[in-house]
Order: sequence, then C-alpha cells, then structure tokens
Amino acid sequence: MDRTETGDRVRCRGLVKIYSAATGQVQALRGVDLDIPAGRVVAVVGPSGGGKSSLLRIMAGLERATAGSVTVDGIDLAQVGSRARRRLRARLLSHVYQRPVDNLISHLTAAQQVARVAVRRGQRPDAAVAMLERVDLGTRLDHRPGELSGGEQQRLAFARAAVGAPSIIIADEPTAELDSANSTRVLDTIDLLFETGVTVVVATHDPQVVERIDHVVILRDGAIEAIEERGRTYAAIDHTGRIQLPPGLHHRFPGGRAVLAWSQEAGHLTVRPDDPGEQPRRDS
Amino acid sequence: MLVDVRRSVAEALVDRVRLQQVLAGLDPERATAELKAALRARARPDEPDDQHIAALRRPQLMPGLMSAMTHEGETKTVEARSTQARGRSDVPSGGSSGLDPVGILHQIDVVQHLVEQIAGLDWGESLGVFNGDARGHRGQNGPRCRMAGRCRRRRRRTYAVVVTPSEATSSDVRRRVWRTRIVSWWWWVAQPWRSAAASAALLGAFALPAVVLAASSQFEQSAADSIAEATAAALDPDQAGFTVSAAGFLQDDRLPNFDRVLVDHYRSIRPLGPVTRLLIADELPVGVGDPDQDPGEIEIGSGSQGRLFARDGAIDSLDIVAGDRADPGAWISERLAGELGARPGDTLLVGSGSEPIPVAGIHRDLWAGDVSPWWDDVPSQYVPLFINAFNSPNFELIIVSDAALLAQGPVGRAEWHATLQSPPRTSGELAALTAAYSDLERRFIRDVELAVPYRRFAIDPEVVPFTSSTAFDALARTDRIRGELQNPLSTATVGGTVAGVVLSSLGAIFLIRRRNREYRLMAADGDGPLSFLGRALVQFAGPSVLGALLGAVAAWVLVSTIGPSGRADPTVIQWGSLAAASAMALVLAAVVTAASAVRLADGLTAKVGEIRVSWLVFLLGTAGAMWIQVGREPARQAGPLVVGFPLVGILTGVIASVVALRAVLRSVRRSGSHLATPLFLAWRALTASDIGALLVTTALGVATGLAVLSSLFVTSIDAAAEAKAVTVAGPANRVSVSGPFDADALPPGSTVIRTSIVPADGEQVTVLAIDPGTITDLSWPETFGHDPQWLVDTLAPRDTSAVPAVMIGGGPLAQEGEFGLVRRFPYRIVGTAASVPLAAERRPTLVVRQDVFESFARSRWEAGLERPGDGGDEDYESPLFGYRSDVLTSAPADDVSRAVDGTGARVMATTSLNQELSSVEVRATRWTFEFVQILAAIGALTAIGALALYLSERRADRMVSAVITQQIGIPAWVDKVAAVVELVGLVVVALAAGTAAATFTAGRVFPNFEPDPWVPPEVGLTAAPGAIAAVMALVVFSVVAVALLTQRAAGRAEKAKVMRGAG
Repeated sequence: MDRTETGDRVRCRGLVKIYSAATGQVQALRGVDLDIPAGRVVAVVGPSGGGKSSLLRIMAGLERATAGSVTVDGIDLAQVGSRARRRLRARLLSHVYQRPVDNLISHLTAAQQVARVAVRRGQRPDAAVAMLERVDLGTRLDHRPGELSGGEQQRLAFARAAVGAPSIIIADEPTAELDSANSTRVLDTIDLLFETGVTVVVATHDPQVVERIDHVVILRDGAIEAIEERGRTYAAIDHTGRIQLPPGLHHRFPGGRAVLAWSQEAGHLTVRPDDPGEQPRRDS
Repeated sequence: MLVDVRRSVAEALVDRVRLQQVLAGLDPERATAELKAALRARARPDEPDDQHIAALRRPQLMPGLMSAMTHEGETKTVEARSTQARGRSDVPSGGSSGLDPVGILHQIDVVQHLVEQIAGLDWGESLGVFNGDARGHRGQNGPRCRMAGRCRRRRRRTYAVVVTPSEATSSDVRRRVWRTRIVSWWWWVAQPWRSAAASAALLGAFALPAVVLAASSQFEQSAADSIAEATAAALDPDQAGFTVSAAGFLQDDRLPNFDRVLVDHYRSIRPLGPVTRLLIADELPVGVGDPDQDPGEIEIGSGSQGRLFARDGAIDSLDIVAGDRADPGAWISERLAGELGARPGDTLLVGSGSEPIPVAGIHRDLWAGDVSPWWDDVPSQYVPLFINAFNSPNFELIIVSDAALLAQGPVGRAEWHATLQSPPRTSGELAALTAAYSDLERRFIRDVELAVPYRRFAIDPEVVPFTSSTAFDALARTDRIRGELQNPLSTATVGGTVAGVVLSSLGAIFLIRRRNREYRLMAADGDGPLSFLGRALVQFAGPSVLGALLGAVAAWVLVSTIGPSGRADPTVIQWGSLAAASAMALVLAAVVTAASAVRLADGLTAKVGEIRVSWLVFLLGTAGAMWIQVGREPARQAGPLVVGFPLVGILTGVIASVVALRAVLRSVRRSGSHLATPLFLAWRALTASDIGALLVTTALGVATGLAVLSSLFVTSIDAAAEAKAVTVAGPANRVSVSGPFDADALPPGSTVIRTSIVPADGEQVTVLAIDPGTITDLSWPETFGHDPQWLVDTLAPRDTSAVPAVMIGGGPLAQEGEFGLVRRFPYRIVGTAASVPLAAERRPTLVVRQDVFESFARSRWEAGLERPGDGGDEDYESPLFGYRSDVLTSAPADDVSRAVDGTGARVMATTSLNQELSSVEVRATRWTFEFVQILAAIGALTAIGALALYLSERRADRMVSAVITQQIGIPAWVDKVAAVVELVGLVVVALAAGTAAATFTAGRVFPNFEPDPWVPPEVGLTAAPGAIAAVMALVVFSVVAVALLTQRAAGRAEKAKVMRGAG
C-alpha cells in the first residue's frame, strides 16, 4: 500500500457514493476531491442530505465508496477488504457518533471504555487514564455512561476515539445533542486532541463548532462547494478541473455564464460576470 | 543515576508549582487568552505551523494543571484536578516563578520529556490520579490514598495524590485493566439474564429444537405404550402366560430334575403366576382285571386305547360317578369303564408290562362322541397346548396323580404353564416380559443348569421344547405400529428440529436488535466476526443448556398432556441427539450474531433479521420441487417426502404470502386517507410494518398452519377410518352366519345382508342383497354419499327387464348387463354410491334389494325364462340360495349369536366397529398428525412469545404514538382503536395465510395418508370448520391476552416519561 507523497493524512479522489433505496438510487457523493493534511481539525458543513455523513463514514472505513478512492495514511480504503478495514478501524480510524449513548458501551466504566481501545491499539492500558485526565474526566474514571452527563459522555467518546494515536478521528455532528456549555467543552476536548497530532474531521451544523475550526469544507448536493481556511474562502477544483463557485455567488452570474481571465503576469485567474456590452477579446 | 534524574524531575515539577501559583491568581480564560495572544504574536499569521497551533491549544490545560512537591526524599507529585478547583489552587504559595507563559509551556514540555525518559511512558501514564474524599482516606472511585494524612478536602475541592509513575502503572492501573477484561467478558455472560425479555427470548429460542426432539422420542414411546396398553387389555392372561411343552420320559428319575430347574426359572419371571404342570402319556392299549387278579394275566390291547393324564386339580374337577375322590389310583370315564367292564377297585394296566394301577373311580365322560381335530369339545384343562391337531382323541384320558403317572414312566409330553398375573402396562414392560420368555427359551440350549436335565428328560435332546405365549404377538403388534409411526414421525421430527434450530437464532436476533448500539460500536471499533462469534458462544452457552433442559421438560409436559397414552417417559429422550441439536442451535445463533454484528457497523441495523429475496426464492423452489415430486410418489404411500412437504409448504406459503402482502401494502401506503381516523392510523401502521411485525406474523401464520394441518388430517383420518370401518363392520357389529336362520329372531336394530361373489361383464363382482324392511334401522356416515332410505327408494322395482342395482365406487361395469354364475340375472345400474356396509375391497359391488331380486327371479321362473324343462313350482329356488349371510346390528354381537344358535345356524365370525377403528394403520397415521399438533403447539407458543417480545419492544413507540396523537387533538380512544385494528390486521393475515397454506398442502398429500385406501368409500380431505374455528379462536385469544398483558406492563410512569419527552 503506497504512502501518499503529499503528506496528506486523508486524500479523497473522485469519491462517489450511491445508495439503493426503495424509491430508486440516491447519489450521495458526486466525485468529491478532498485533501486533509495530518494534524488538522476540519469541519465538514452543509445542508442535510449534502453527503456529509456518507463522506465521513467512508473516511472512517465504515462504508465502501461506490467509486473513487479514499486514502488514509497512504492506505486506499477502496482497495482493501473488509478484514483490513476492520484492522484499520481498530488501529487508525476512530469514529464518534452523533448521539453520546451510541459511542459508549453501557456496562463499562469510563476507564474501561478507553482502556479497551488503548489495548487494542497496542498501548498500555494506563494510557486510558492519562487520556481521561487530558479530557478532564479524571474524576469520572469509574463512572459508567449512565452516570455521566451528555457532554461528559461525548468527551469520553472523544477520549476513547483519541487514545492510541489514531490517524484520524471522524466525528459526525458530535455536539448536535448537547447544550451550548457542553458543546464548548466538547470543542475544548477536540482542541486538546488536536495537540496530539491526530487529524479530526467533524461534520456539523453547529455555528459554534464552525467558528472554532479554521478549516471548513462546505458540502452541498454531494459535491464540495467551497473550502474556508482561516477566513479565506477557496473554491474547490475537482480532479477534472471544474471549479465550484463559493456559496452565495451563483446569482451574480446571470445566465450561468462567467468570464474567465487568466493573468500570466499576476498568476491568478479572474472569474467575473459576463458583460453583454463587452466585446470578446480576440487573441492575436 | 535514576535518583538524580528523578530529582531533576522534582525540580522541574517544583517549577510547575510556581506555574500553578502564577495561574492561581488569574482568571483561566484570561490566562488562556493572554497565552494565545503571546503565541500569536510570535507566530507568523499567514503561515501557521503545527507547533504554534498546538501551543495555542495547550494553555487550556492550564486551569487544572498540577502542583508538585517532594516528600521524604522521594519524588511525589500531587495534582489538583477538579472542575471545582479550576482557576484556583490551594497548593501552598511559594512565590511567583517569574516565567512568561511561553516559558511555562516550554517547561511543561521539558517535564513531559523527562517523565517519559524516566518511566518509558507517555505523559499521561505518569499521572495516576486518585480522588480524595472528604475524610481524605479513600478515593471517590479509586484505590486508597497513599498520602492519607495529606489528603484533605477544603471547600468541596478534591485533591488527588499522584504516586511515582512506576508504582501507579504497575498496580492500580493494571488492576483496573484486568477488571476491565473480566467485566467485559462477564458482561457478555450475564447480559442475557439482566432482562426478563432477553432471558425469555433466548431460553425459548434454544428450547425449540430440544422440545421437538424430546417430544418426538417421548411421543413415540407414548404411542407404543398406548398400543401396548390396549393390547394388554385385550390379552387373555392365560394365553399371554408362558407355556413350555416337551416330549420326554415321564419318569421319576428324569422329569423331576428338569421340572425343578424349569419352575425356578418360571418364578424368576415376576409377572407370571404359579406354574401348573400337565403330563400326558402317549396312547397305549388298556386292560383291566379283577383286584385280586395277577397283573400278568390281565389282557390288554383289546381295542381300547388310553392316555395317562395328570394335572393339578384334574381329579377334583371330575364329575364322579363311582368311587371316592380320596382314593388313590386311576379315574376312567364311563365310556372306557363300559368298554372294559371296569369298576372301582379293579386293576388297570396301561401298556404292556406296565405297573398295575387300581381304578380309583369312574367319572362322567369328558366329551360326547367324536370331537373336532382341535379338541374343541374337551374341557380346556384336559387339553394340552401342543397336540397333534389331526389326532382327535379317539382314546380315553386316564386321570391319575403325578406320582402314579411317573411311577408308570411312560413316554409322553409334559407341559408347564403359568398365567400372566400382572399384565404389562407399557411397551417397555411388554418388551421386558417377552425378553424374559425368550431368555428362558435360550436357556434350554445355553444354560447348562437347564440343558443337562432337559437332555436327560427329552426323547430327542436335539429338539428344544415348544414354547408359547400371545405376549409375543402383542409385542409384534406394538412394534409394527411403532414401525408404521417411526418414518413419518422421524420426518416430522427432523423437519421440526431443523426449524427449531433455525428459529433458535431468533433469540440472538432479538438480542442484537435490543443491544445494537454496543454491537455497532464494537464493530466500528474493529471487532471482527471471530471476536463476536467467541463472545456469542460464551454468551449463549448458558441459555442453550438451560433452554435444552426446559425444552425437555416442556416436551414431557406436552406429551403427558396430549400424548397417545397420557404418559411421557423422559428416560427415552435421546440426550445425545438433543445435545447435538442444542449445540447446532448455539453455533448457529453465534454465527448469526457475528454476521449481524459485523453488518451493524455498516449501518445495516434495520436489515438484521430481514427475509432476503434469495431465501424466499430458495424456499419457493424447494416447495415447488417437493410439490412435483409428491405427485410422483407411489399412490397411497406416505414417505418422508410426503410427510415433509406440508411442513415446507406451510412455511413457504406463509412467508411468501406475508412478504407479498407487505410489498403490496407498501406500494399503497400513501392511500387510505379517506378512511376514518382509527382505520387510517392502523392502515398506515400496517403498511409501514417493520421486520419485527413480519416475523411475528410469519410465526403466527406457520403455527396456525400447522394447527390447521394437523386438525384437518386428524379429522379427515377419523372420518375416513370411521367410514371404512362401517363398510367393513357395519354401524356397530357384524356377525357372519353359516346356514339358514330365522331373521325375525334377531334383536331389534339388526338387518341381514346376503352376499355373493359372482361374475359380471367378465369381472368378479360382489352382489349385496339388502333387506329393505330392516336396513333403514341402520345409519351410516355422510361420506357414503347416501342414506339407507335413499338406497331402498332407489332400488325399488321399476320394470321387469332387469334387477335395479346401485353400484358402489364406480368401476368397469356397464350400465346394464348380467351377473351370476349358473343363473344369470340382468341388472341395470340405477344409481351409484360411495359405499355401503359390506362393500367389497378392490372389486366392484352391486347392491340390490332382496325382495326385488326374489320377485324378479320368481317372475322370470314363472315366465319360463329359467326353466329349461317342465319343472314344477317345487323346483323354484331362491336366487339368494348359497349367498352368505351377514347380520349387521346395533345390538351386542352376543345377542345375535344367541339368536342364531337357537336356529341351528353357526356363527362364523364377529367383527365390531371398534375393532376396525383401532387398526394399526389408522392409529399410526393419526398419531403422526397428533405429533404435528404438538409441533403446532410448540409453534404457537413460539409465535406468542415472539409477539410478546415484539409488542414489548414496540411499547415505547406505541407510547410516543399515543402521546403525539393526543397532542394533535385526536382522542386517546382513536389511537387505542388503531392499535387494536393494527394487531387484528396482523392476526388476520397470519390466520388467512396459515389456513390457506395448510389447506392447500394438505389437499395435495392427504390421498397418500388415507387409511385402508382399498376399502370404500374414498374419503378425501374433510373440512374441519369446528377445528379451524377453535384454532383461530385460540390464536386470537392468545394474541389479545398477550397484547393486554404487554400493554398493561407499560405502566403510567413510562407514559408520563414519554409525554414529557414528546411535549
């Protein structure tokens, strides 16, 4: 299995996912290209049905893409079998579900929840306690999920996801069922995990989450609409060279046409609405 | 060196005390903000690197970070980490460190690095954390505090002590981890028992194959016991006893040894009573002389023959004519005494050279004149069992005492007989009895103790003694029925067991659906199928063993309740098979668990337990192939395929119906808006029914199908058996009579049918001539297709050209023809019927009226058609002359026999309806489907259990639905009515599918199960509306009861909880 040469932890190319439903086939992802560097926290946002969960489940090795490739740490998940994907999930890929109770085994204490994953990932079990300390659950080591609040449960879920140095943590709307205070603490936890170098990908609708994360991928109708990084908005160019306009700009291009101008000197491409009075420039 | 390093760590940690002090006076958010600002200032904003980003996050550690201290020369760290303590610290102040925030961060890095160097652990591992409680001695959740004296609680703040890294990791944490592993595995073992529903589901599921297997063997034994019981009740204790007969030298020095050993063996057979011995010498010439005459002068061989006879009580039973019963000597008959001129006190010689015997007395003759070859007229106690059938007793029995006979020492036969005092009540006891008999038989050859005296006694030592007992016949009959039962029973058992094994995975599916979060999480964590398989095996081991035992107990209860004999013998359970079936069920459940759990990770929760189209196609294909093959089976034979087809057919039919109906309902789920609100809600619920509803409906349908199938078959077999028995034996009793008798002397309710077999149209035809005056006193089943009055009316005289006749069961006869051997009579078929009493097997039957037939014959005779010459009226002979007479009567057969005996005719045979109904074939077939009834009961219990679990699982949904409907202004009763309608819908579908599938498949195979198919009438599947209604009523009642119980268990608290959630 080849390692990516770019240093990206996650690399998606032409990712397509089609579900078969009773009413017909549903195309959840329509050729997504996405690179996520190592040690980065990325938010995936977009309207419901935009393909966020599908993208995350594919990146987490829980589902297979219909077409395209997903490479995590150089391993193409599309090329490996279910057994290998299980191993990857056990060692490198962590997934945090939306509902806190879905992330925890009800009969295990907090320490046991995390230690179980730590041991599986070749860590000494003691790492569990350290991780719980790190997410501020040191006083809750022997509590079972039912004895924890929703926020604590979700932080515990992140702790068990992060223990053992996974490559990537996939979190599907982790604050959706939490109040503001608990959401903040969960985000603090994500910040803490970020320090360990783990890559975190969070699907969310929560503005509070988006505000705290510098790298945001906007997904709409199964395709990347834009990428925002530290206040900058980037248009996504897929592997065929197509550019998607950033959100809210579509109406500025009446007739669905834009004028492209590539400045060799400035080294940039200008995309502007078509002016009916302007004569097309002829290249001599 | 290590100490030095530790000291360095300690120093570094002391610096961290200062760090804590710095932060203690600050608002944590503000401190964080300042740290961020400082770092941002140092970092290039347009090119943030990972280190800076990490540093930005790190200040958030600050609010709860640690203090450190040294204690008695050892490195100890104390960390205050509680949310209450955030932003403040109670660690003693030691002055400001004077470090800037970035410097502090660097120090942390240094400390972390050093700790990792020392312990080989990562940063977190060095921080074993305990929480101190208010008393400062025991952690809130952790082990005992190592620094109890220093742990204290102030202002609800919690302190913790961190011991050295090596100590913390080596003991407490490892202990915790081991506990994790133990807890994890123990949870798997204990989980099924934590919920009553889960326990019930698993135990019930694992009990299924066991109950089928255990019921099968016990049912078979119960059937054998039943027939043994019936056979034993009919046994003549005298004939069922044991008789040994041997030819030998009836001498003092030969017989007694053999007799003593043999009687000892008899006594070892406990059910037998005391042994009686009969000695009968061979025929010898007899002579008699005066008492004072020299025996050598007595003439013998003058023609009289005699056989010395001795038996206990024989003399006492004689009717004495002369002599004193107490006198010793020989007792002779009046006839012999007359022939010999003997008187009491004379000397008797039996055989030349024999010892003289005094004539003790004379008795009345034991028989008069000639007797039949079978000694029928001789009192039974004077008849040996083994006689030369054709050697009639043209001799006289000379009754003597044993001692007198042995003193003579003739050659003859000795018989030992013991009556059965304790008849066997079970097939086991019957088998044990016959085994004891057989053992005694073998001892004549193999047991030296018996063989040696026998050889000395016997005339021909190579010939073993004859033995006799009707117990052997009874056992053979029992075994025959058992054999008849075994094949279909085995097929049903295999089918039921396979179904049970498959269904046992339902328990696993229930558990998966109930605990799908854990399974999904574990699967997402990378647990593979083998991991789940191992856990499931551990988890289900207990329930499978307990379920198997419960199944065996349930089978015992079932067979005891509805088994043929009303008793069940658990010792006949084949525990090996039961263990194998349970093991298969366990493995299958584990495999299903593993496969389903792995699928859960892929988001396929809803598909766990889904019936796949491929399975449906497989089932349909199998059922179709069986349907075709059943048609090719030899007629009237019920092989495994014929028995198995209804089971497969019902399963397939119900599943296909339910799946198809579900598909149809789904396609129209958006309709129904015009319905009334309760119906609309129920309609939407039905059309959106989930896999649970599908499975429950299928289970109910299959159970209904099995119940209907078995009811149909039992009813049909009973109807067919009764009809055929009436054909053979008449409505109650049939007495076959030889010779003329007065029909008027017969008891009321009797009629005479004259029967003959004659040729007609090249066929052998049975002609039955009925008496129109008395035949209407009888009645017969509707399956005959007519009643007696119809027969009389139909056979009424119409014209003189032919005898009107009714043909039974169709056949090759022409509508008009002639019957008779010498005297041939034209007939005309005026009607057909399915059967009539005494209708022939495997041959056409014509029924005529006696009076019409007589009248017709006489008219023909009078018309000269039967008079080739000038015969007078006295030459006329009834056409029924030579016809056999059978009396059909509702009165006891003995009454008919007495009436017939008085007229000089002879009763040849009697047959009763009950005897015919208890024939082997009928019983075995009926029992087969009684076992199917047990399977149906098991299926019904399974379905009801599944329904209870389903309703229990849907309780919360139902509550939510109830609350929501109330919130949108729909009255509560509407929702309740909708729930009832939905449930009724499911039940109706199940009942309809099960009944239709059962009727369809039963109709296909019933002809193969028809008892005595060669006996008319041909009875097809008989509708059993009563039985079906009873089955349906039982199902509906059970469903309603389960629904009520389940819903009542919901409770108000839960409803309130749901309402809060929904509101």
